[in-house]
Amino acid sequence: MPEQFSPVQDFVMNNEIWVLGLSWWILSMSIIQNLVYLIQLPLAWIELRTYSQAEDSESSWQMLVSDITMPVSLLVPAYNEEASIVQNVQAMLALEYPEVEVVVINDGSKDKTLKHLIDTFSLIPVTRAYEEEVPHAVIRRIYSSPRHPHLFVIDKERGGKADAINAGINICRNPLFCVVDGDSLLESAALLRAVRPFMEDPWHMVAVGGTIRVANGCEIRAGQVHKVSLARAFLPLVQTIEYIRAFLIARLALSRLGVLTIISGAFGIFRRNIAVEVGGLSTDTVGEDFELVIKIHRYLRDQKRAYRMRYVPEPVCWTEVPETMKSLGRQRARWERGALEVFFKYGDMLFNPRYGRIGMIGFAHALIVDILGPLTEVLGYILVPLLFMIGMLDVNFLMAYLGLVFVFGLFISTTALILEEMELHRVPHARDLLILLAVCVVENFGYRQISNYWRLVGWVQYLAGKKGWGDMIRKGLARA
Amino acid sequence: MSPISLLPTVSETIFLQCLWQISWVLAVTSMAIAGGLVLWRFLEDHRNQRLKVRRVELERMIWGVLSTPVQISQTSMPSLKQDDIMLICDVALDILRPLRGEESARIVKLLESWPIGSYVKRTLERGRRGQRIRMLSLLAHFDDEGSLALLKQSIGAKDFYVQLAALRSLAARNANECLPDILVHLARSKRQNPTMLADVLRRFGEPALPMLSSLASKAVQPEIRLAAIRALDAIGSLEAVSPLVTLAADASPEIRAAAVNALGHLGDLRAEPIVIAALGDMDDGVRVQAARAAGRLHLQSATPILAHLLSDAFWWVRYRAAEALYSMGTIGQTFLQMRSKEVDRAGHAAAQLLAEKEAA
Repeated sequence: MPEQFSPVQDFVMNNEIWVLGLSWWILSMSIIQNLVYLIQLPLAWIELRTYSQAEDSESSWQMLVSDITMPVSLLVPAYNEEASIVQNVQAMLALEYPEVEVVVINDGSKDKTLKHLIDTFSLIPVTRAYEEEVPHAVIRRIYSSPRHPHLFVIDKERGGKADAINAGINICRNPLFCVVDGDSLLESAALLRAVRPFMEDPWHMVAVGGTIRVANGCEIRAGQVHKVSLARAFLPLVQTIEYIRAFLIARLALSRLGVLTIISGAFGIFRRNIAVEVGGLSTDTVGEDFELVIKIHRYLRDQKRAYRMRYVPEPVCWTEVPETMKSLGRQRARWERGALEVFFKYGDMLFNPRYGRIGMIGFAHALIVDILGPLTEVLGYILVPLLFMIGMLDVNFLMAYLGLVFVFGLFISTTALILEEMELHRVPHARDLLILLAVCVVENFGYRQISNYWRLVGWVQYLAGKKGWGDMIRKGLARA
Repeated sequence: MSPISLLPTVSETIFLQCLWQISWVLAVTSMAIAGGLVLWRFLEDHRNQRLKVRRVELERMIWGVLSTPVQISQTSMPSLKQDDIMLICDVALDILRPLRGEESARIVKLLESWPIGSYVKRTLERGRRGQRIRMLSLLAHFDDEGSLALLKQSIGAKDFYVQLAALRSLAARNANECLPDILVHLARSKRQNPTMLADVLRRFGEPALPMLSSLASKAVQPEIRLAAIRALDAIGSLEAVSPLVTLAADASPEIRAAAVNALGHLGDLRAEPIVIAALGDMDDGVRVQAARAAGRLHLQSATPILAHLLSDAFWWVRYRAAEALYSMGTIGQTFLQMRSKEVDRAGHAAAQLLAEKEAA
């Protein structure tokens, strides 16, 4: 009697070559991704050891007391941020930095953002000479404060975050500008530390990125993180590990190789003249931070100009991360969409020798990790167990796949935590380290899969041509 | 057809098993290391808590010594444990920062009454970067030959910030005899941070002018040259005008710009022809600095060129030229008012500047 096969088995046997090829492709991609991480680890460690400022508070102190810094303009795009804008601006005015100009850009807020600023800082309309070097929506009025001569508020028509930053770039006067989200908090010494690479290489350094850390759970006083604590909820906790992993491994390694392709929009310092030369930020993407960095790389490579970009781990910007699955899902889908928009917009740079390391390594990294990564993982989650269950796949294949996805993932997260503890020492207590170590294990079972699903949603949104940011529901940082 | 065809070959099986096993070995190893770190951290948290308490005690003791009329000597001081030596150096540096004169000397004498010498030496030889920098900063307050020798040894430190800390301390001790040695090391140096280096070099004051002039013209790295020019600028001596005039004709636009900027600050009219020539420089950065310098020096003879620069292709040149004209007084301001009525680039620059000044 002939053996009976299920329709799925029939399908697999009839397409044996394709299924076999796909299975090995999934495994190969997992191997390549993990190899990338494995190569990044020592590079990240070397970079951290070479440029660590973690123990060198003395040099930062000398910079502060001697007024020997490069002037920086803080650009704060604000849209409907009446609840937090005043406290955040007060915190920025109190930053430990000798020459800082705070430029708040009220991007057509519908709430009382502008009124709160005018009332609190006694703002008055001023005239400020500037040239519209990068395009943006119409500026209605510029305000300044007699009490705070370094504070400027630009009231402009709604044009989006990138458009608001462009207005800030035009108005600001300092050679460096730093974009800070209205709902993020810069650590008091963050600017002193982030500006140091510009001082070390004043003619070549064009952009520097700092670290973003999770503020959920921390105690906030007067716009500063007063007491660092871990969040209690699972989602912020797991994002704490994600941020440590992303910044302390990937960005440090890319920085070491000179192929940094992203500087976080929540905290990055750029050379103003270069941002102007590339035409400012593009308003047609939700990945405007990624886009600006790639645009700068492209422009300077085209011009054959020597330049450098660096990521420094010590300066920290605290930010509130989503605490609900819905808002986190939206954020991750948007990030993926932004990465795709930029990747395909500048796709000709991929493996293009004209763009040197950026094309050959930076873009290849983006392709493997950001573009193909979620597709491969989600496909693997479905296909590998399915083929194993219907008896089509050897147990060794399944174990190898699980090893690469779950066990190796655990290794990477744990190593990031080790790096953090050995070099930066930012986790407040031994107990917190233990909690984060547990999260490293737990995140692989459930969260990682959902996270990749969200990224796949980003792919679908990109293919469907979705534009815009959508709303993010924030609980608000606990401020004392 | 059989599903067996999807099974891997023997070599593939070995490869797959290796993947699984390697992943496990790596994960277990990293977890073990992380577990060890957690344990270490737990112990360290306790130790830090203890050190924190002890630090407060030592801080109180130092302040007590400062206010007591009793003469400091080795016999009158309480003995310290090994951990205390590290803490006392740390506490002393924080206390010493704002202090000068007798109070500072008293704390140094207190430190000298304890056996800190070997700890300082060991830290400078084997300590981590931050510890070495702090220790070198502490030595700024001493005046003995031994500590001076330690500072001199660090002039050639490989780490730039360690070297900088040593230079800063030498400057604080007015150790001008080290200037030739510093010149040798900096002229060859490939490390950078011109802004911080300039700040340290200016602290040596006028005795350092010959060294700075030499460094500005001969150093290998342009960043070191830039630092020397900025230091010449910050010292503010008119003796620097002559070397700066030479540097204003340098091949590098960054060096020219820094030199012209410094000449503007020094306020010596010997710089007039140099600044006027720099107003017509090919590089926009130099023109910006030249316009600022012309404004600071109130160079009436530069008015026609500044008026011409109101139409420059670069906004910052136009703005600084307008600012310079405004600073010239009635002549410049009247010119700007007349020019502001015209609907061109120069008129726009003049109008913007006038509006800004009026609003201010």
